[in-house]
This record gives sequence, C-alpha cells and structure tokens, in this order.
Amino acid sequence: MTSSMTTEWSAFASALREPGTPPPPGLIAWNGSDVARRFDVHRNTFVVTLVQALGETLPVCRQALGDECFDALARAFVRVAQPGTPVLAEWGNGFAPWLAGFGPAAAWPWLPGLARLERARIVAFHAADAAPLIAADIAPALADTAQLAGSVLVLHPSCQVLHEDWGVVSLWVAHQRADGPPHDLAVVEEAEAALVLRDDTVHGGGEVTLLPLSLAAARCTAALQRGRPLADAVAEAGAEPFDLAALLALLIRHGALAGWRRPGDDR
Amino acid sequence: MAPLALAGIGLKDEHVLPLLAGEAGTAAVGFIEVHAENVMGAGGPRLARLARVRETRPLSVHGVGLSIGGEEPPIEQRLARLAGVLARFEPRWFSEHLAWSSHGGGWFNDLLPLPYHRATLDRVCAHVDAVQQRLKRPLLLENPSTYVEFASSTMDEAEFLAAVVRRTGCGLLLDVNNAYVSAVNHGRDARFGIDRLLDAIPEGTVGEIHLAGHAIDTDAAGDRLLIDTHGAPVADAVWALYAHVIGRLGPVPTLIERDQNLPPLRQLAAEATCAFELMRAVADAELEALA
Repeated sequence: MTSSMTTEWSAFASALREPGTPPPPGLIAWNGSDVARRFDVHRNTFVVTLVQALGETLPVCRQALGDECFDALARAFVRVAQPGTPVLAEWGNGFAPWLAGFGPAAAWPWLPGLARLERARIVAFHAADAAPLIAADIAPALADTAQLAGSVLVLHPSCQVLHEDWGVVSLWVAHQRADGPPHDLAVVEEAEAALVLRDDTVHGGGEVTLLPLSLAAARCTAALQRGRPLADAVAEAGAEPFDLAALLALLIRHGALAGWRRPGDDR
Repeated sequence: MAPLALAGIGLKDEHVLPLLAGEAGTAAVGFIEVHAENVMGAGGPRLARLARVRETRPLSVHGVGLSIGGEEPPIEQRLARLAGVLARFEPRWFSEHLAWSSHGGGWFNDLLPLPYHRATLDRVCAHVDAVQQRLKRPLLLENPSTYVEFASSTMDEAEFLAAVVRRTGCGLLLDVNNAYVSAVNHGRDARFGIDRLLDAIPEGTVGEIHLAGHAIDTDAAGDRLLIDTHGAPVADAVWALYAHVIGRLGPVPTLIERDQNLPPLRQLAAEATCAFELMRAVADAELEALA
C-alpha cells in the first residue's frame, strides 16, 4: 500500500514528466487562479534547463542543426532520458545512442558521431589529473631499443580515441573557424579518427584538444590505451602504414602520455 | 566586535581568470560560492582554478543535489561525493535547499516545493540530521522560491523553517529574492514574512544571504507571478527588503547569484559592492549607537 505522502511526491513527479496533463491534486493558489499555469513553471524549468545544459555541452551539434531543430531533439531526449544525477556534466552520454535509434534523426546520420566527439570533450575536461611526461622524461626509454617493443605507454586519463564512420572530425574542425563553417559544408561518409584529450602541458593548463589521427594511428593509440605493449599496439594498427615516430611525438607534444613502463617494471 | 561585512559572487568559469587577475572593481568581492555539483569532477582546470581562487578568498559550497525536501533520504553516493568536495576545498559555509529535485531515481534539475505539515517536518529534520552527521558540519538551509502551495500544509514557511532550525541545529541561508518572489506569488507581504521568520529563530541562525534577480510573469488570474531565474540584476524591491534584513541582523555574508544572461564580472562585482556598502553603513550605525 502506498502512503498519502508517496502519492503526493509521485503524483508531482509524474505530472512533471507528462506535458499537457493536469497538475497533481492538492495544489492551491492564494487568488484561486488555475494552478496549471503555476505548475507549468516547474514543467518548463525541468525541460528547458536540461535542454540548455545539453546544448551547452554539444555546441557544434546545435550549430550544425540550428538552434530550433537541436532543441526539439533535446526536448524529446529529456523526456525519455531524464538524468539520474545532479552532476549534469556526467549526463548526456546517452544522447548519441538514442539519436541512432530515433527515427526523425535519421536525416543526420553523422549526428551521433558528432555528439560522441563533443561528449568526449566534456569528459576530457573533467577527467582526473595526471602529470604529463615531457620529452626529457621519455628520451631514455626511447633510446633503450631492446626494451622499447615490450614497453607499455600509459595515456593521460583524459584521452579518448574516436573512430567514426562519418567525417565528423573534419566537420567539427570546420566549425571552429572564426568566421564560421563554410556555407557549402558537406559531411562525407568517410571514416575519420581523432584523439580527444586535455592538454595539461599548455600554460595555465587544461585546454581540451582534438588531434585528428589516421585510422591506423587511432587503432594503435586505442591499443595503447588498453595497456597493450608498444609492439602489440603497432601490430593492432593493421597493415596500413603509419608513422609511429610521428604519433609518439604528437602524443608527447600534447601531454597524452602520463607514464611509461618497461618490461618488468612494477605496475 | 563589529560583525563581518562580506560580500561575494557566485563564481562562473568565465569570471575566474579576471577575478584572479584582480580586475578593477572586484575589490569588494570578499568571498565566492560554487555549486557543489559543478566541482565534483575528478580533475581538470575548473578544480585547479578554484583551488587558486580559494587561496585568495573564503569559499561557500552551495549544494543543489541532496533533495532534502524529498520523500527519499539523501543518497549516500551523493553525500560521499559532497564530502569529497568539502574535504578538498574546505569551504567556510555549506548550504542546501528546502526543496526536492529527485524522485524514484530521476533528477528534475529544479527546486521543487513541498507541503509544510507535521510529517514533512519530521522527514526534513531527519534528512538534515543525516546530512549534518554524514558531513560532520552544520548546514545552512535555504528558503525556496515557490509558485504553488499545498492544500495539505498546516504551517507557513517561517514556522516550518524555524522548527527545522530548532530541531536540527542547522543554520539558514536567507535568500531575500526567494522570500520576495514567494511572498508576491502567494499574495503576502514580504517584509512581514521575513520578520515572522527572524522573530522565530535564535540570533546568529542566518549564516549567509543570497540576492538574485527574477523575471516577472503573470498567473492565470493576471496577478504577478515572479520567476526565480537568476537571470537579471537584483530588483529594487529586493534591495529594499535586504536593507531591512541587515538593519535587523547586522552584516551577514551576502552573495550575488547569477546563472543566466551572465554579465561581465565587473557588473556582478558592482552588485556585490552595493551589498558591501549597505552592510558597512549598518555596521557604522551600530558602532555609532554604541558610542
């Protein structure tokens, strides 16, 4: 049996989630006015603030679709994916998979990938701190060729490898131009990859950075992130040639390496 | 000893660097406040910069996540993360709301109202007790902005808050804008309501004051319905009510909140300066009366 209190809270919560239904029973206004209008303040806050929060974390998605269109999608998402946490930076990872299954969003097949890219930037911003290795830290390990193949490179906690079927990396980069994206911008169905990370080597710290990678370099980086030794990670990159030295230099330059273990080193 | 005149601002990412750089006009910003749930990340620049600001000014941590007015007790995982924030940044003040935001696992991202009667009083007191025990520190409980009332309420907000204070030993964060918004929205006199509250609580209960802007709408009868948006400068009527409050209480650390339509730092700092000057005038008058 439910207590009357349970009914009060549950009825309020249910009515908040159901636009167009009457407000919950038991509400009053001093002037006897229709409480529906007053209750709508809460319905509005619930949806509008979450739509706004989602839009702030996915600015290029919003720009690419147009504010009105994005906000309509976000409203539909909020209805079915109410956050379970007050820490809103941690809410929204479900948007990309939801889009992929949401019929009206089929017109933008690249949108889930773009949303994943932008969510990765938020995750990178809030990821744990770790002191990035600098070139001088790594030089001895690189010089130790006998041990190099079996070495494990520890990526910075903010690192996330993206591997998308659509050209969303180029799309995102095009949207960073000061004068906005070109008018004839088209998204191509061509796989692209990138590493998203927070570059703590930048003065002041904490620039979230996107490094476009070749698909092979991305596979190698993803294997490194899974803790594979360097030689295995290179093998996982596949047959497609890629420049390992250039990849390592890029990772080091952007603070993507937080540790280096030679074979036999204590974990 | 003259009480402390301290004015602060809610800290936004955009304002951190100018504040740290000592931008002109920010001298009166004597403390800062952050939402606890915005600094619960594992790391990153926001936390690093907050630690730097923390070295220059005292900090208030303002929680929005505990849902103290809810049907369900505060969630342990949220309390644990909050305890982590408090341990990391050692704020001088910690506050939460007399409202609820969670129910059945869903987060509504709004401060929702509750009826004021014996059963909700018992429940809110149990939640405040649980929070204060878990966090090992007193809580300042904030009065809400409300838009509807409940037929089941048997006491008004002042009676309810005073009873929570008496039973739990918590302090109050008196949001003067909320008090004004709620008074207008329920056809009552704001000054009368605040006086009733202040008359009913022990001296020293109000540990912090909030000031913010609101929007003006109308209800279905065409009467004014004020919306607590934190999206505009503090309204003149709220400044007048604030002057009345500190006239009664003396200076109380006072914070300017702004979450929407964020202006440049110097504009928020100017509002903080205004609060600081009002408090100083009150403190001077008190000293003169003593002399």
